[in-house]
Amino acid sequence: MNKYDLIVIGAGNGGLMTACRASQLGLKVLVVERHNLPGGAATSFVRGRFEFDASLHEIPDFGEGESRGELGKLFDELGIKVEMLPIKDAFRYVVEKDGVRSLDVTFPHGRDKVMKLISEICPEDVEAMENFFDAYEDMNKGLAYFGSTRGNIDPEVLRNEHPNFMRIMSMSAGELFRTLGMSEKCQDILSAYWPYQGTDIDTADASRYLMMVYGYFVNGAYVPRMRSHSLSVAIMNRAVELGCEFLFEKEVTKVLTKEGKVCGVELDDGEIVETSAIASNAYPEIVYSKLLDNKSLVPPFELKKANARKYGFRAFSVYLGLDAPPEEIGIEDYTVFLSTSKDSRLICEESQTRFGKEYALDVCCLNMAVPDCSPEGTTEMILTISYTDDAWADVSEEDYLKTKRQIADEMITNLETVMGYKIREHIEEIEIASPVTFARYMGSPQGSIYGYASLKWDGMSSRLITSGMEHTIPGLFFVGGHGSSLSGYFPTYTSGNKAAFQIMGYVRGGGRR
Amino acid sequence: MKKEYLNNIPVERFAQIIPSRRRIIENASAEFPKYEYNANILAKKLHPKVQHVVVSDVKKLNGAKLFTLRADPEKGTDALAYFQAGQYISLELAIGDSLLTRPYSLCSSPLQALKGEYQIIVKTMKNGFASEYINTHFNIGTKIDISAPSGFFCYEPLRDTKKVIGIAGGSGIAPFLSFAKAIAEGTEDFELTLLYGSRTEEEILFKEELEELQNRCGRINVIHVLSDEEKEGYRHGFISAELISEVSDRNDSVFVCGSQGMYDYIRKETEKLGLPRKQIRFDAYGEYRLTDRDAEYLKDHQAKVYELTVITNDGITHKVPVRCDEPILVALERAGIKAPSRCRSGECGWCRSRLVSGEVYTPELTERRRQYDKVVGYIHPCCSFACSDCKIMINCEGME
Repeated sequence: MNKYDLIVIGAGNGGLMTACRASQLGLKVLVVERHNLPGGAATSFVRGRFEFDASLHEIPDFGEGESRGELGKLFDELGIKVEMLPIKDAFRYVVEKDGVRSLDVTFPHGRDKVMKLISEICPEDVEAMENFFDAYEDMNKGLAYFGSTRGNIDPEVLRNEHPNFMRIMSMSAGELFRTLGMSEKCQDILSAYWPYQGTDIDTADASRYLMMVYGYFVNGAYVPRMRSHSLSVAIMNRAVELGCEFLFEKEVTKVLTKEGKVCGVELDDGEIVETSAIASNAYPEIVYSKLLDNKSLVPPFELKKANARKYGFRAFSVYLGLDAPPEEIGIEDYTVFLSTSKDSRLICEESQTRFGKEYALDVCCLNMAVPDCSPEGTTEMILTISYTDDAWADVSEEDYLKTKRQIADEMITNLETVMGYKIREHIEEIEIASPVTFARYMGSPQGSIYGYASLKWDGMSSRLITSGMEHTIPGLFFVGGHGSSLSGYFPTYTSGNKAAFQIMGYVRGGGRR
Repeated sequence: MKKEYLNNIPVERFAQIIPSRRRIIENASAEFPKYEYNANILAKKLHPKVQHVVVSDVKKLNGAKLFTLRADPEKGTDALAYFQAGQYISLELAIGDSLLTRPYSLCSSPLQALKGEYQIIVKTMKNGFASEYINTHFNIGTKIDISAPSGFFCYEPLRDTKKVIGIAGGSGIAPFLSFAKAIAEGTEDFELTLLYGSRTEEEILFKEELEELQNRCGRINVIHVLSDEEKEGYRHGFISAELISEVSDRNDSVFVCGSQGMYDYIRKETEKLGLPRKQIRFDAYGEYRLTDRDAEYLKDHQAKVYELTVITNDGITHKVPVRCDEPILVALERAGIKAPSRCRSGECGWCRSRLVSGEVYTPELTERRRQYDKVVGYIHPCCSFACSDCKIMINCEGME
């Protein structure tokens, strides 16, 4: 086989985007994926007459027309074509416990609509909310400056021109809300997105939270017409047009090095393929502890970092194909965040084990955005809860199914009780994915779907500021949910794109950083 | 002027981001990090890439054989994957120059798997290339590679009713035998009324075993239906809508396993009963045979042979003939090309391949592709029939 400039291990979102961009930049790229199709978590599966998305609920910052967002522009620039449909509202947030509903609010998309709603339900928060949007703008300018200096920041410029950027980067989302003087109610509502961050509101970075909320509120959310599988295949197809090669059902069994640098991989059939660089969509601990041929090359700091980190959410999803249309089920919303408490810290604590007393249930009905996603007269929905610790560490083969069903059963009961949906009598297809399922398809430790947890010391701010400072083995790059911009579709696509430029620099520079 | 909404947050905190990150990292262990946890290990146990087994027992039945397969530690399989009653395994076979797979429902119980044992029934089919080979060549000690347990023909308490009507034809009894054993041993929790159709009393498979299970466990009820023979103690005829209504109040879940012809018949009968779709489940029946339903395709392509170009993930390009009345997968297997497949019915997606050029026909009954795959040209070769010369890529892209 030929020698490559770049071998990408794993065709998840990060790997695909890196492969596509690197090919567009003229590098010779090979992607090796151990499954028979691309996407990792960005995939779909068919049961009976339903096709379920394995993971995607919505993507921010896609936009269209004048409000084309950053991700939309990235797709345009790379020539990736995929049909996306807008989602009407941002979310409905319902907080109810023991029959007492303490919150029920539907948030729209669009800055004007958001401000109108705030002026109606939290009139005293109008200024704080305007400041919230301004904070985003301030942060973004700071980020742009930060990015433009390629690490050589002038502290004077930063201090004089981007003081708010500096402040925001040091804050948690919760601290930002409080500092802006938001009322408790307004804080509660804005906290609804916390599960998308994988950590409670006082741990999640203000920077990342601002970016996400702004992305959703201002540019709206989009979903592909034909599941995230279409996104993955579209990116792959574009990469192929640009000269990229893909091998499926092949696994990288060794990362090979020479003179302290990455030089190739060994595949499971014994074949050795040479390369100048590797972008690993597989976790650093897998590369360091399992794949690497020369273990002494790993800088101790990188080992310590891998050990210091905690994993992000391990998801549990129930996929339902129902034999009645949404209106008959009682569904009115695309996304419902259903929670027993407004306190994200409490829910995170209770989510360390399988049977916590509190929960946050994320309910998504695709038909509300893509009416023809399932046959006429049917509905498909995904219910998701997440664990903040290795909650499946003690489950055995024999108990596995029973455990899955027990949790799914409880989720359906909770949803029916709180929202009044009629689900049970309409179940035509049901599939349940646990952290074990995600571990199977993503290969992630503990079945994490969110990479490493966004802890205070390891959130977007800290990863971004230190990016380019923490070096691993020359020629080795990490992309995906465990990469520099944290997890989720938008972050993994954009960080995968960025990594391709760094890789090009490395390859074209003849293997110098 | 900058707005002053964040002024009480000291700018200096920014300078602390890097040092506090470093501090935490430097305090952590420098050992090589763990990368596999229970979730990862369990995923591998439940879904092994391949299972090496050895035939440990062969029992002759009427027109069929019962094979007991045990884990083969010599080849690296120490334990067999646990499964759900109703699932199948896919056997990898090399017959002459052909490389092929065949799915067989597990007829043993899930708990038996934990003891390192699976059982399958292989009925010798008329002109059955693989079944004939297996039944003549598989002996105690024969080593084979099989897939992880697969398939969705399983009881799901969140969806199915407590009472289930099983409809079995011939060797379609296999998954029901597993269901019945699972109920008796307590791994499944439902009541099974089984309508088991055979041609004659003599052809009934596992008659004694079913009787024994029925006597042992009050939740299993077996009704034999003979089509070619009238005999006391047996129902005569086919498993009709009338017979189904006799044992069911139309609210029960119905599970069906048998041949393609039987499915066509049962589909008509259950339509008469007006059963909603969610209540009736058909097992994947293996290779699709073209029938009157496919008359339009057959009319245009009967007896034609096209050229199939195949690129595999080892970078090799093959050119093989494909007959119009056989799924593309069969042409690949006959040519000795190692092509992935499992269910051979269109539903598992294991054989998903890129159709680079040419046209294929996919019978409606086997259409289980993802929406986008249909748009951009992926096919399931196990149930795709060539309409022209075709070129496909298996498990690779951009390798031309």
